[in-house]
Amino acid sequence: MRNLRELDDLREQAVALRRAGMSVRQIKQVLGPIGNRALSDALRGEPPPEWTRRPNAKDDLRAKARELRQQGLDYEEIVAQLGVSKSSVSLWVRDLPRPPRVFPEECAKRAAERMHRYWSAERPVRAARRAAASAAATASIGALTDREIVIAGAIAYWCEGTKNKPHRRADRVTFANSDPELISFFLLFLDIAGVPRADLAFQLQIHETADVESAKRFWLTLTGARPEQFGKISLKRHNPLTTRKNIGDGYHGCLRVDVKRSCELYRKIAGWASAVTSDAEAPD
Amino acid sequence: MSAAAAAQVGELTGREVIIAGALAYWCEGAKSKPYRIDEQVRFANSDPALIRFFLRFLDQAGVPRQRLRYCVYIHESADLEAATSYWASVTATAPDQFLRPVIKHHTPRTSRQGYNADYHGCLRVSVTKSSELYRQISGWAHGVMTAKRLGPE
Repeated sequence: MRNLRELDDLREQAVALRRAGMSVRQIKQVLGPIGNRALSDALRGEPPPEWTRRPNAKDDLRAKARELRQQGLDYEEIVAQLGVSKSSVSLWVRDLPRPPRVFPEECAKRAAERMHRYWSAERPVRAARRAAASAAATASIGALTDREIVIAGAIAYWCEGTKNKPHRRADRVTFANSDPELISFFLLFLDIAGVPRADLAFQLQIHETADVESAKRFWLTLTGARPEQFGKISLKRHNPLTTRKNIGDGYHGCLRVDVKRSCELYRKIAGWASAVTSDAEAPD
Repeated sequence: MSAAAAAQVGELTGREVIIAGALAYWCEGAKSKPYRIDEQVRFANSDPALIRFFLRFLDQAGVPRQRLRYCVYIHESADLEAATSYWASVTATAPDQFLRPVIKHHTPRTSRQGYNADYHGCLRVSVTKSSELYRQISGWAHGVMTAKRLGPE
């Protein structure tokens, strides 16, 4: 225990230090252990130096946060706007009245906005990743030998071309598709199978509501055929009740490719296709 | 004529199976659309030879058979059990491995042909966890369709 005299000394020193412009914290450092109560008693009536009255570092943000809170924003939104921590916001505004409850519709709207923000950024990233994976597979194919084109073309024909049925025997090569790449590939296949381009007849099949003329130009360019080779256009009725997605600029209808005098070619294709698919039954 | 053409083809290399299988998938398989991104490998067909070829393609692509799911699509007026055991033998799978079949309505007004003792409906083969495979197949198919012709050696 200090005696009374020592305490008096301490008080005097404290007042002197205070007048010299020190803060309470600094005085404590100089004097060593002294009770808060004793120190504040000693300093009663001594005004604190001006420099300890400096504004808080984030006074402007604090005022702004209180203003935003009064406008009804929640903590997260204030954090997002001001870039301060949520706990600071809490300390600054917790005495203000809470904004009224947010209704479910408003919540749903905000959630939708967040989703929209997220996906606008994420969608292109994922699309690029998908495209990169496909592009690697594409590159692994490279150029094709004639044999590979015949095999693939025969299979494509077996999938998309006209086939003989027990109830309908035609023995004719007819291939219809809406995919321009597949049509180009089929034409390449026909080249290799020895079909002259002059033996081809084309028919455009398209909905009446589409841009028929531009579709025709599209397929003429793609096939490199003469306009006379294009027969009468088959116009399909548009049923307004359907929700077809094949509309708009990307829609060119279907193209049917007919090969004239193709009985023999049909039988060859059937043979190739059956060889490819029946080979599957052979044990590896 | 057909037999001569078939003999000309002979055995296929692994690369040829990939090329033809990817193209078959592009013709008959489920494709992702701009308005509906859906990258699951699903292939449906009524032709047993094509189904078997697709399975061979999947083997070649390194897909284990445990990842395949089978589902029969058939008209209600046909014999479901016979069709299931038919497709089970085509795919060499036990019939109880098949998913619940999809039963189609029979409209008596239609003049569907091919509806006779030979009618087995369609089989859908889907691959689980297949988005990577889908991207590969679509890339291969695109590569085939846009490939340059290699000059004669």
